[in-house]
Amino acid sequence: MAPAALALSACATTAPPAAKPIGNPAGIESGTLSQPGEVAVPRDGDPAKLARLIEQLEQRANGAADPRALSALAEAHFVMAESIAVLGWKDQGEAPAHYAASTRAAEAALTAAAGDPVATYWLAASRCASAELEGFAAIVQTQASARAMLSEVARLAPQIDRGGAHRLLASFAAHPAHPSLRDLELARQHADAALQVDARAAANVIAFVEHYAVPAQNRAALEDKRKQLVEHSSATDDAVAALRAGQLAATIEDRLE
Amino acid sequence: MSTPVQSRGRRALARLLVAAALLLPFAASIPDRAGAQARWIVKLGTAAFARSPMAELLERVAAPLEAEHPGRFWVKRFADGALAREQPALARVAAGEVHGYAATYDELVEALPDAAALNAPFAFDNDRDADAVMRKEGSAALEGALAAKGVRLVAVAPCESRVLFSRTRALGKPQDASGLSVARGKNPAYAGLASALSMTTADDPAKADVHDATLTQLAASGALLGGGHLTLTDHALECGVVVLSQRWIHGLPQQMQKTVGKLPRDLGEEATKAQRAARAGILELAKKHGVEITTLDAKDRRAFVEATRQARASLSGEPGSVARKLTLAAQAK
Repeated sequence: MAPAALALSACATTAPPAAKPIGNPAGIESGTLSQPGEVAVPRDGDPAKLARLIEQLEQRANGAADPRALSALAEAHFVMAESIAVLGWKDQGEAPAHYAASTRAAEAALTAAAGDPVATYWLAASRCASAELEGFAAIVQTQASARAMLSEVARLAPQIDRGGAHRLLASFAAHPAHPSLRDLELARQHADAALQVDARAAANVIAFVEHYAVPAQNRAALEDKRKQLVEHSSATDDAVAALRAGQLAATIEDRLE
Repeated sequence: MSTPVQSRGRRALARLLVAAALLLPFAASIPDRAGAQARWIVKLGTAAFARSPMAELLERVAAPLEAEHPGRFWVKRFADGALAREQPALARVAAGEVHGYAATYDELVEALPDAAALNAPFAFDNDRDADAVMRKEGSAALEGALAAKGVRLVAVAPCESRVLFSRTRALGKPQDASGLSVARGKNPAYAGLASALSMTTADDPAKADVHDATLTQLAASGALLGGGHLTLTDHALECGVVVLSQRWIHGLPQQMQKTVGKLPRDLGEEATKAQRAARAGILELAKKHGVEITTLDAKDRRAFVEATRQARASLSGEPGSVARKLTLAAQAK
């Protein structure tokens, strides 16, 4: 329905790592692997840096079932897939393989540490991103189980991916696979919750607009966010979100009555 | 101080503004700039989400408008029910405020209560019969009734049938449902089925023993994730419709009206195929989550058909009504 460039994946509103990621000591370069669990996945639009990180994480994952490294690998593959799809890196056909690799890494992390919220988050996010690429039938099959997983993540660790679980839950409430399940009030609650986790994350501003303000046609709620979208469009720490913010700001009138 | 000529000019402007205000509901179909190359705003919407077969149907409506009249249409797309927040969508289409809309079956029944006859239990033996009816007699009946309401039917689709899902036991025979509760729906067909199978109705769907729903709805809601019993009754047909505003069409230049008139009659068939293509995957998902799947053999189906005879009759409507036409068409299969 939406033009291809704006066909925002419900699962693609991920945010860059927080300014001071948990477990990432000052001085460790973004995108380098130091100790397990001390990885900040770069989202600044540098494919080589991301590819190097994936290689490092895969080597570590082959050596030991380290759930933190595996979760970081799941995140890195996810970001690679999203960057290929949105920023036009490499061959577009490679995005599904990276989402699938993200799913495999998250599943392996959960085998090593059952119930781990970080791995659960990336498992749900990668599965539904894959489904978005596949189309309607896959989305119908995936959304409910992803919702169940992410509800748990939102309860236990809402800070993962800077409010990522709430963003996805807002998406499911606003764009359910069956229209009888739409609940815009719930979508707003989750969008607000994501902003409470991190109001500065571009992905959270985009999520509020995409999953609440536009479907509700709420211009008043939107006005407040327009300027932020424009500001985020020139952000450098999250290339995917910056591009999306710019596209959304430029085309928002097409989506309002 | 204004001259008499200026005053007359202002009064004329004021009259123009008042006239424009009176035309406000129609304003969206007025070209957004003057002149021979004026661009026409086209608002297309659906309650479904943007990746759904319904939304893709709207793209097939938009494509020839944009292709045959480059730069003349500004097509604005609204998924997720964004055009039906305050008023029913089909009423907005009739008023010319919304120009094209892919309505869900519930939205169709809201605008045209006779369409509840489509949901009459066990009216069709299978999807093939249902499709054949909807392609001809069913479409014709709906087309006339919708035209009387100011909307032009473009396609009947996507169509999907309803099944029964129970937490407690398989419903392979009519008597298996006896005493269980089913969620009360707005559509009178729900109550008819409940009564025919000796079920009670529950106001809170979460507390109901049985769900009478499409497979898509069951999968999307998560109902299939916790095990249970799915009986593939395929007992009622749900079809969406794609409609255009007659008022809007009549306001378009002739060439554009011709383009709208050329929209293919089989526009909805791909959407129905896409909707049904999800079925196999949903059944796999159900099995994976421990759901027992029951299909009806010919004998059991006949028992359901017999048990629900009165429920179908109650939905057959008055002679000449849309409901009666749909019922007769189904019976003829």
